[in-house]
Amino acid sequence: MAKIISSIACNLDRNILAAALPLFKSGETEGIEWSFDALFRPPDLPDWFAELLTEFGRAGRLVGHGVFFSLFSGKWRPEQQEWLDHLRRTAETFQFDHISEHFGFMTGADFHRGAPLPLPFNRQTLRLGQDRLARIQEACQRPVGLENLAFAYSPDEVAQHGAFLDQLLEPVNGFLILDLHNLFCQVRNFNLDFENAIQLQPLDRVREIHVSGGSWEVSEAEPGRKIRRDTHDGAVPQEVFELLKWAIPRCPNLRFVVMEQLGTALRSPASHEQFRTDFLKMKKICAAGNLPKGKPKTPTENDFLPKTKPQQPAQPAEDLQLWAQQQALSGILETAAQPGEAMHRLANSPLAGTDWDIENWQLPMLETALRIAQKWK
Amino acid sequence: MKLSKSLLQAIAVGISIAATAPACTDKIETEITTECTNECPPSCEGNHETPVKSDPGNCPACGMG
Repeated sequence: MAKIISSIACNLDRNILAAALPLFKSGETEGIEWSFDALFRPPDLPDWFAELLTEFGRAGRLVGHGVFFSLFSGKWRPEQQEWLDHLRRTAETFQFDHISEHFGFMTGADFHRGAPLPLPFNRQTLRLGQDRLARIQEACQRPVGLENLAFAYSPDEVAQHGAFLDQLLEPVNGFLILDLHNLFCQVRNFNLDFENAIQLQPLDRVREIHVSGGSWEVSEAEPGRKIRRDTHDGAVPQEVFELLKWAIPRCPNLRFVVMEQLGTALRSPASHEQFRTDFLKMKKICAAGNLPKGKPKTPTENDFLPKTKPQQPAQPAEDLQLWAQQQALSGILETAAQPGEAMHRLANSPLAGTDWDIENWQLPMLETALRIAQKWK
Repeated sequence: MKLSKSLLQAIAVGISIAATAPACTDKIETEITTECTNECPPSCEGNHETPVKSDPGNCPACGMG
């Protein structure tokens, strides 16, 4: 295993930068992750922020993390081509070690809004995702990867997620971002065993791990049940640090461990202090994971570049039936007042009786999907 | 990783300038760019010419869960 680079998710956000500045000053921050599409039509970056990206990029310690591509939108939209063009230009300007995106499709009716939610794991969506990943790789000419999703409607979905990610990533020899808090959400929300859940992920593809905090929400659909959400607005739970200790030795291609927190949760000096404390705790665990402990290094580490140039048609793949289903689902999630109403409308929608498997969705998770979609629409 | 003193100073200045720039609402983190959206209150003096999403610099996908 190469040395693990302890990093922070660092966007052009005053609160994040103010919290991180002492870590920059002390040289503790070994790498940064930048969501290069967070400002989609941005003004010029301030010189100092561009210089920060350049410095980390030159050292091989800058990673790019996309948010808004919407990998699985059934319809190819002009905004996705714009996103790829933006990525191409950005990757020519800054030296990213790799580029990643999120699994799922954006619920928002307008591109660049909404939040990513899951979709059926079938041959059609596999083909769509593989086509889009190849286009991202072609645009950036760097290793590309995907992050596991926090949200799931059912435990069956959790059980299938890792294998589907592996199939998606295979043609581009892509990597997985293993978000431990996302996994923590799934384990807690469906009362799963962590070791079983993590071993369903393709651990040999993990090049990056995310660590963050979140929050609990009380379900009204099922009184007494609490849902863990990946809201990035709190301290990192001790359980997530324990998961990190467990995961590091099992991910032979791990290179970056990134701590994420939203700037909106970093408004007070106490929250800044907590952010730095969590980072240093994470870094200590990574440093311990770097120790050889008598184990031989991985003989040939994966560079996560495609083994062969993926063949892709000029026209991006589309699935208009999937698009219609996504539109129907987004509309319901963004407007239904209650999960019961949403379920009733879904049962009379194009999603009924399909691979979406809405018949097995848990009502408290549908309630959570409503809250997510209505928060970010 | 060590950064140059001049870069660290530039970041510190950038943060302090941003802190004094016009802000919009609690929901909209616009301090750095002073870009605003049509969600701003009428009194906002930020730049409304370039539309940006309502939470620039933050990541709904990363923190959406």
